[in-house]
Amino acid sequence: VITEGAVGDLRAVCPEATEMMEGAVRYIYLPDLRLPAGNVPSVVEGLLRPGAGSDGYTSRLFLSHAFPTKGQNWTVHQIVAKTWHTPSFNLVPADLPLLDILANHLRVFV
Amino acid sequence: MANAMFYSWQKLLCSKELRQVLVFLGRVRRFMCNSLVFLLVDSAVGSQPLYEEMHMHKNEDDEHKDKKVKILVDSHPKHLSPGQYLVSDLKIAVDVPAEKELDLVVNGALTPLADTATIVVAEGEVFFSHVRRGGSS
Repeated sequence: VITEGAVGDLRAVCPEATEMMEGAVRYIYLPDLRLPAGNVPSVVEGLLRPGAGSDGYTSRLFLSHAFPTKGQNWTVHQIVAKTWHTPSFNLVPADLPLLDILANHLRVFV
Repeated sequence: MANAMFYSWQKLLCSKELRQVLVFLGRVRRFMCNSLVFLLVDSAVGSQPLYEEMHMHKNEDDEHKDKKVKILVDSHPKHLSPGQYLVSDLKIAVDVPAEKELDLVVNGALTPLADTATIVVAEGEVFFSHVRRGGSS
């Protein structure tokens, strides 16, 4: 269960973070996700899935843009009627605080 | 003759002029004493501002050395001396376990810091620490 407090922690870096659902899957929508310096574009939309999914990933971060030079094996997904891109980055546990989950997924973009 | 001298001396001692002379000498004496006192006081007090000034500069130097700035680590305020830090040393200074990764918020972006990197702490930096998990597959 994602509490408002947990999302509130995430708002320290994504002020407009909001929770949304697609079916039974929870996502955190991050409309102005800022990536570490050196990434173009530096601000993207993000969709954090803080739990496990049918894809076998323990958690996942989807972005509105692909960054093929960062991470590995980028794939395209349709979620909440929008196209998202994500690298293959796994084993970030779902029981971590949301900010920790996001921070670990963002390590791809350093 | 002797009597004449005695009476003259007595007359002189009782004369208004002599009293005026004595009063004048008394004033001179007080003035001299006061001057001496002022001189001593000036000697003592006059050097005090210099001491205070030196002491004040010492305090300013100490304050500069001991100056602390506030940063945020995991939303908690931490106070430490400004300057350049090795990230691993910064973790120790702000009580972040060595096994955790430290991220600096740069222009709103979470930016992971390598333990061997150096960072300049000035004032108001925002850090988050987190466990390292996951990897590309």
